[in-house]
Amino acid sequence: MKYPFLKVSLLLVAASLSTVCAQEGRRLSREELIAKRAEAMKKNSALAPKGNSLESKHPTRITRSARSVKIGFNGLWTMVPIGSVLGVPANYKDRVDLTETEGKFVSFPEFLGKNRSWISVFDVSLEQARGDEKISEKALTSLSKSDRLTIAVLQGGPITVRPPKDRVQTAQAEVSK
Amino acid sequence: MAERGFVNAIEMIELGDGESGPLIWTMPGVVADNAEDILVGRAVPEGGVVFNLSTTEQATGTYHFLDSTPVGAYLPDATITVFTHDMTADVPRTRADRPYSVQVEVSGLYSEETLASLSISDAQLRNAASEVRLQLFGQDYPEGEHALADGVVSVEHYAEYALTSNGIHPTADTAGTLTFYSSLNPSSPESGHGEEHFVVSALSDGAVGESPLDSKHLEVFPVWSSDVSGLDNPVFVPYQHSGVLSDEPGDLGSFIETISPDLSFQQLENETAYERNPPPVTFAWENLYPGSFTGVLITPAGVTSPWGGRWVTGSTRTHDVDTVVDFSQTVSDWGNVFGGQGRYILWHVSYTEGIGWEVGGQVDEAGVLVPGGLRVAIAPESIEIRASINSLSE
Repeated sequence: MKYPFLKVSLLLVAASLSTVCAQEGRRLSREELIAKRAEAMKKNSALAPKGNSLESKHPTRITRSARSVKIGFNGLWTMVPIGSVLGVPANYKDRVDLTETEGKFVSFPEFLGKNRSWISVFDVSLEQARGDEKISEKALTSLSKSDRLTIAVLQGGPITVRPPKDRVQTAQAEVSK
Repeated sequence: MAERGFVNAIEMIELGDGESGPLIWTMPGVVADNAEDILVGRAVPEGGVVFNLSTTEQATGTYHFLDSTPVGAYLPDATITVFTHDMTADVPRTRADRPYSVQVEVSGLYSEETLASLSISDAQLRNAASEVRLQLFGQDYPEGEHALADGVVSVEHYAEYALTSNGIHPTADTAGTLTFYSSLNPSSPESGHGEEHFVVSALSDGAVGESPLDSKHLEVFPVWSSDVSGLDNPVFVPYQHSGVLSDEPGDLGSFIETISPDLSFQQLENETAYERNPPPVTFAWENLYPGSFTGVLITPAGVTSPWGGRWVTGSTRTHDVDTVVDFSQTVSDWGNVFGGQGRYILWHVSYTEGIGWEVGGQVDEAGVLVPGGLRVAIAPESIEIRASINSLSE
């Protein structure tokens, strides 16, 4: 911490004086402090909301891991969004959806760069990720035959891929029948 | 820019609509440790979106939320400023017994008239357009720590306030509000040590949920306390003593061989007076506020405050650190500090920028705090030293 020159000077002067003439600070007793706190809260009650209270959770409690899939191998691990893993070959299942991680956390691009032998990426558009546009049948067939873990990416960043909306609507219609 | 050993990430999150879950994109923009951040621009979706900035510690995988920016169908804006007695630190901080105030500048809210003229009938949108909420969170640090575990505020909010107009709050109509004392350690508020957090959020507008618009936090330090040792009866031999010495435990008889009667100090007829150098005395300060100055002052007995006294040589010190400090100092060589026979008082004092000079507290025989601080009289009366010091006095 750096103090302004003036403050340092003040303290040095105070320390060097043979006598001290000073304005005494005033500390509150515990009882006074409790009373002051209650008084302030009472005054602020004028701003009490009329509607329902918001969620009590502080933003720092929003965790990335709760909305991610953890992938790890060979001392490195990373996180990709839920719904971005399009295909998991049976022989790589133990490297995906990890509940416990070991080693060093790295970004997805770094992890991908060191694990290209068993991970591939599948480029999607934002419209495809939203389910507004279908992914071609040819591409889906290719995906299903891939012997590598496949992650959906948009401009290189892993992204959730929602089911196509017409498929969702069809499924809902069948359920409602 | 990420610190070494951390990986930053920006996520774009489109919220779910009940039929499908959230769409999450870990954006490819490099949040580099040696360059400016790069974001890849994309059209904002109709349903609104939240951008989260976070960092993850590589060695431990510990996640830290850093910031969040929502973009929705309707969102006001808000900026929080916290004012304390100490505005010198990078992160606002205060002492547990000091009031602090929060100022929130709000913009983008619509008046009832504007909402009516725009024919906005959707109830959620009307609410979101007409008020923001300020939430308060308070959390003590774990024992012996100086930070929250993983930097996460895990408690629920303890107060919530509605701000229903644009401009700076408190307004003229709400003057006197938004001033607080720390909520930490309710039963012993003077010893609170932790953080107070303030979050202003927009209400859900139907597209984006409740969204934090700004957040700030305040570090709270406990009130300092003091203690003295080396003066406990009967170890303490006063600078002067009048009266008969006995061999009873607790009396001064065990020192009879090391002290001599001093007739010059005799005050009453038939009185035997003794004198001896004062012993080493240790003065301790606990939980000093960052940057505090401390020292020991000496005054003649009979005064009610140390101001105007003289420093005990070598006892002054400035604690130029960023956290609370425990400090003790033993005075062995009293030199000429007493200036001869007489009765004196030694005072613990502290100076804190924005607060002023303070003296330690003193508890009397009944356990009641006595204003005026610690008094150590180098005189017969002071054999019954009140050595229990509490942090609070006047």
